[in-house]
Amino acid sequence: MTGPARDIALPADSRDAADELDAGRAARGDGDAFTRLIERHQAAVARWMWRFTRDRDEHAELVQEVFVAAWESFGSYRGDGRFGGWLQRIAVRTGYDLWRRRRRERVEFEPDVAAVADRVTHDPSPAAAVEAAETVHALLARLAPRDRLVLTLLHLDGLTVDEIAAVTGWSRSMVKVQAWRARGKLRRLLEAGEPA
Amino acid sequence: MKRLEAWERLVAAARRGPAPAPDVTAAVRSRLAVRAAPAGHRWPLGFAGACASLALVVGVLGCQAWSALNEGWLAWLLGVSGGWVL
Repeated sequence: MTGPARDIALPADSRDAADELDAGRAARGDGDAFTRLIERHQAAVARWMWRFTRDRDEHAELVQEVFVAAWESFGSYRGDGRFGGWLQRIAVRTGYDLWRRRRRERVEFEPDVAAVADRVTHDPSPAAAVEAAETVHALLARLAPRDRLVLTLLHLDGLTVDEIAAVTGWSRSMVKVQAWRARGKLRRLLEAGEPA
Repeated sequence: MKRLEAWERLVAAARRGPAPAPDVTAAVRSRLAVRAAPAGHRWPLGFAGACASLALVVGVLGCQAWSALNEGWLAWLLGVSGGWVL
């Protein structure tokens, strides 16, 4: 059973230094250092993984999987970049693997994009944001995992082409081509439901 | 076009959406503790299985030694069949 995550707030510089220190210790098998890394990063990982599933139990499971994979991947951690960036690569791979295993999700409703957008645009409440996120998730679920991933990272996480290349391991040109194709598919998907 | 504009407004709203923040520290530590024991070195039948396997190995080795000393065909047969079973 999982409770709410504690928010560990540290200034960015000291946080990076603490991460580097703890990651080095964790790589040598120090479980307490790894626990501190989990405590500092689990809120960010939870935000990332919420893009990959809207089911709370599955989400908690995914967040755990990211840290288990991180522990098992410390052999590949070089310590030459930010720990958060390395962890994000693992998170993206974990979420993407989930989508690939599941292929396209069966969406239970036909989202009325225009109607929902009209409702949530001028409503700053969390409930409106949740409704918007559910609609976006349902629409993207109709795309292939690769298209879905690039649009999620571009639109929802607001990453640049370089950042997407870094977290996915794709080349910059592949990210651009993939994004162009995925946007085309999304456009066709949206236009298919557009009233005449 | 109307839907494309709507999509952009939807995405802007979706980015504000809150995410659940489960505390997974204990669960991850528990999963790692389970995985920490190398699977290849576990005895599938537990302690009794380990003792039985050890007794069998000692028995087979004893038979082989006896066979080597006495060149008895029964001991030789036991040794070969025991080795095959292992």
